[in-house]
Amino acid sequence: MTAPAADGEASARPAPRPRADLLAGAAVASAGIVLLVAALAIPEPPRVSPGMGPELLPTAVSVGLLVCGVLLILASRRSAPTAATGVAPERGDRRGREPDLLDPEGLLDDVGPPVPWRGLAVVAGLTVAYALVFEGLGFPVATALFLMALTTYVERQRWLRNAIFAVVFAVAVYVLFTQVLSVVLPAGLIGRL
Amino acid sequence: MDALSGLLDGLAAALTPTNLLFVFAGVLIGTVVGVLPGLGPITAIALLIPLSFGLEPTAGLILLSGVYYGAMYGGSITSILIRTPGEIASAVTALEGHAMARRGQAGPALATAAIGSFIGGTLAVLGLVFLSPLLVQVATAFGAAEYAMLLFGALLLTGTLMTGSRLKATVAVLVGMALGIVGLDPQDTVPRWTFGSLELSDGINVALLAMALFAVPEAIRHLALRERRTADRMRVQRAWMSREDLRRSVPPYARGTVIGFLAGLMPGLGPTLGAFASYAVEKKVARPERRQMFGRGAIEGVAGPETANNAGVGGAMVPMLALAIPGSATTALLLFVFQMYGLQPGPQLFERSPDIVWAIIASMFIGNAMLLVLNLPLVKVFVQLLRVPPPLLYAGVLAFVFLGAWALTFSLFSLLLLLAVGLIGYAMQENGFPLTPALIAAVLVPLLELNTRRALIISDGRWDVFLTRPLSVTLLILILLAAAAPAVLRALARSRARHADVTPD
Repeated sequence: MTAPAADGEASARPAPRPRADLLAGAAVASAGIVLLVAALAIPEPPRVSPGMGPELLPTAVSVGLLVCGVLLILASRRSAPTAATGVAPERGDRRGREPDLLDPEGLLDDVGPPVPWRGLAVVAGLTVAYALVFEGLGFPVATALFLMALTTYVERQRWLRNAIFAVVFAVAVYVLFTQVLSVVLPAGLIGRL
Repeated sequence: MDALSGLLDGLAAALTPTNLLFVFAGVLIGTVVGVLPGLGPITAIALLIPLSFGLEPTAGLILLSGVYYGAMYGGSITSILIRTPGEIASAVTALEGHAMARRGQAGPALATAAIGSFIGGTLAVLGLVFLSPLLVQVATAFGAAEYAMLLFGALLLTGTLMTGSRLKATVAVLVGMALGIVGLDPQDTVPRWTFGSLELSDGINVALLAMALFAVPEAIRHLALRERRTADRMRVQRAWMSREDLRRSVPPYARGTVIGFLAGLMPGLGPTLGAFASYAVEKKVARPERRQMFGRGAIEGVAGPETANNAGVGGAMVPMLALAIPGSATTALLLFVFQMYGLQPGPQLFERSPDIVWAIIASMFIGNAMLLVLNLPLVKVFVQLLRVPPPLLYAGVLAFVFLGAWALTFSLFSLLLLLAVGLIGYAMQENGFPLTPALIAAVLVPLLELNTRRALIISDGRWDVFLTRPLSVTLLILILLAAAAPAVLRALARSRARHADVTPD
């Protein structure tokens, strides 16, 4: 995400991405610390059996995350000078990288363009809103509104197509699941009619 | 032979009209979901789990297994025509297959993928028929200590056998373990990592985890990029190949079947490992003039990996059914489905419910044949699915996973949990952390803890039980060797690469 896009071609996952890895390492390490604190707070079981208590595995996992996070941070600092030269690596260029046994030719390197933060925020925000109104408005209304908003954010000009899709999808899926497959979905506003 | 009579009984059970209908529905739905760009077998199964609640175990499992290989096949269509694989295993197919399509040879590429899938899939099920009972017999000698050791080995290999950064794969395993631990401790009934939330004490449902890690990140990515147009699609007249294409494809079919099946047996990557290995082998054995075609659309590079990919399905089912140790994320999800129906795979399953096991295995033969019959003539119909506009597709996927998550617990909480785990998955995917090991680890960790505890209770808390039992210590040595092998191979590759840098050819 933070990798400098060289020419639009070689953006995705070029060999070392020190800043992103530094952040990822910090996130993993802090998750490890939070989980470790929580693991140490796991209460003693009422009846202690021989061997393995409830805290052993959580403690081991959180320590593992902490260690891996620190290793990621260290690794990102080690590869930093490569990026400082400002030469963007070409796609599939694996210099300075561990040779990959499974994928020596870098078939998986091409993971597409980086996602803009704004788009991410809009999509995440709409999805959270959908969750919050899912029960209150009911599946058909909430889903139609959510689909309409999301698809129109992506493609404003096609609002009519989007609206038709949103309503048809919401109603068809609702009828299919509640009537044919007898899965209970919140009716919400529709139910109050 | 025991396996043969079991298989015949299974065939009889699978051939009833109802079960035939479920096989058909499974492979059809699987193919449809698999064709949709960015969606693979894991998403397909996770989305259908809420639906299968109401079904009989046999019918539900037949349906979901059908979805599994249907989606594998559907994924090859997407890889070849628009180069958007739904899962890592198809990425290899995308390379040569898409190059063939660009040269106007989409038809032969699709045909060889379909036939290869059928051959690999069917022969691997045969392997499954004969290998599972053997493994079951071996497994009866296993105690809790050996199971714990095997599960530990599976977790370790899941981390080491991934492509890309080993450190990041290890983090993924640990994240998956953490997600699998959340909830009430099953033995001591104390809450672990629930942070005071009552809803979290039930643990995180594996189906929810699969949707959150595989469907949500993909949908968020495409929507946030505001993708409007479908990828350029290659024209397909019909899926058929010339005699020459067939001649070139046959040896890769054979090699792909063996490689894929064996790789599928390994815990961790299953089919993916097979597809990559098959590609490497095909490139290596090709004559020099054919080798130049690799990267520009060599049919061998489609035939081999696609066969291996599908043979890996059968391979990965062996340890899942016989030992309850899944070899891939998809079989991990299937293991969860078995448990959901109150069935625990492993030797007991073959003993107590042989009818269910053999009906599922037999249905895999039928399903593979159906796929071939369905797909050679109907490929043009499935290709139409590639025209679904991305905004509608991914918004629809999000609405669908919300529905699925709701149907699991009927609470707002599971929707918020889906989103939270989905965002974690998204952050991991964008930063090069593989998600497959996380799902496998989440399924394996409760089993690991259970068996370790059993072994320790029997040994009265002495940890040396793992080292004093001959079988357990043998497994430990094998696991350590397998885990060290990639590191050794990597070191060799590195020294070779350094050598090549000095003397350019």
